Amino acid sequence: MANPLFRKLSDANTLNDADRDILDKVIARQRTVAARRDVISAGDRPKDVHLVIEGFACRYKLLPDGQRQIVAILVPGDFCDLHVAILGEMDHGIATLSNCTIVEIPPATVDDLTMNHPRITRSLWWATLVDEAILREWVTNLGRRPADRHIAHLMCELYLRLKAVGLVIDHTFELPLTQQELADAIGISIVHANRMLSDLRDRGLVTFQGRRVRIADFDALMAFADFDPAYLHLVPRTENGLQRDLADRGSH
Amino acid sequence: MPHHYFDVTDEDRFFRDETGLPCPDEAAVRDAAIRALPTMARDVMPDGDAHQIAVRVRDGDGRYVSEASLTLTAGSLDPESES
Repeated sequence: MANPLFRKLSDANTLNDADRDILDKVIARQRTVAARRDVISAGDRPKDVHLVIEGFACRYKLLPDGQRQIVAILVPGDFCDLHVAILGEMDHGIATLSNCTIVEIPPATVDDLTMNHPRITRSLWWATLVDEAILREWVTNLGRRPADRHIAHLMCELYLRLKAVGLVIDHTFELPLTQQELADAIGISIVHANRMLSDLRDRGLVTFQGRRVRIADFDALMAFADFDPAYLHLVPRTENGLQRDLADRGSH
Repeated sequence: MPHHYFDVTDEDRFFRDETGLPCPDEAAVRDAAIRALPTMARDVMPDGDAHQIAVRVRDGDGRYVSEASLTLTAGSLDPESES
């Protein structure tokens, strides 16, 4: 069974076969959710913790005038609401962007992981910290990066996050976002988004083939976007402080 | 819903919109054209004393039906200055 949760966590955390067995049990209870439905709405008090196993989802905020800001894109292996049991009610919504397989993890399972499996608990903590780091990068992008760089930056991020769970094949990944959804993530109008996408196409940095994105020269896209993958924390912390060269991950 | 196409002219550069956008009525067309301008202007590097960005909207038959534009101007207030 493909387990994107294990795959994601084990990249940057030391987990063993026993941990894998436990995480396989964690993702046992799955259900499918059609595209463009709410998995959880703002104000909900979900009992279970949700995790994306297949497909794309997003965190979003709605404004009174109907505009939407997408504040995170969730890919396989990402938790929707790991700490909602502590925080009480959802302060934002989570919606599917494509057909999704979602796991529901009962609170008793989360408690058991916390009490009895410190390595896994630590890796879940890591996942939460990385989510925060990604949010910091998104804030910086929204506030300071020009839209063409911002879109390029998002493509770099998705490329590496999807690569970490085995979803980049031949420099290409699925991205089932409409232009409106991309505009909602970048914080610009759809007309502006369309213009920027044709700009990136013309520069030869990103190829859009229907719902697929191809990045032939990742280094060139990284340079254009001013993208530093450090915030994704995809490599384990080592004792001597040295990390493997992150650029390795992007170039193939 | 009829599609409209939003071509952008950024100074001398022209971007033809091939994707289009469904707009229910004239107000939506106008709204989409105007909404596009501020964030596009934010990304403009000032390269002179004036910079114009215009959005011209085509309907499905290729007729231009609406236009919105934004001009950034800058100039010195120093009377000694050349420009």
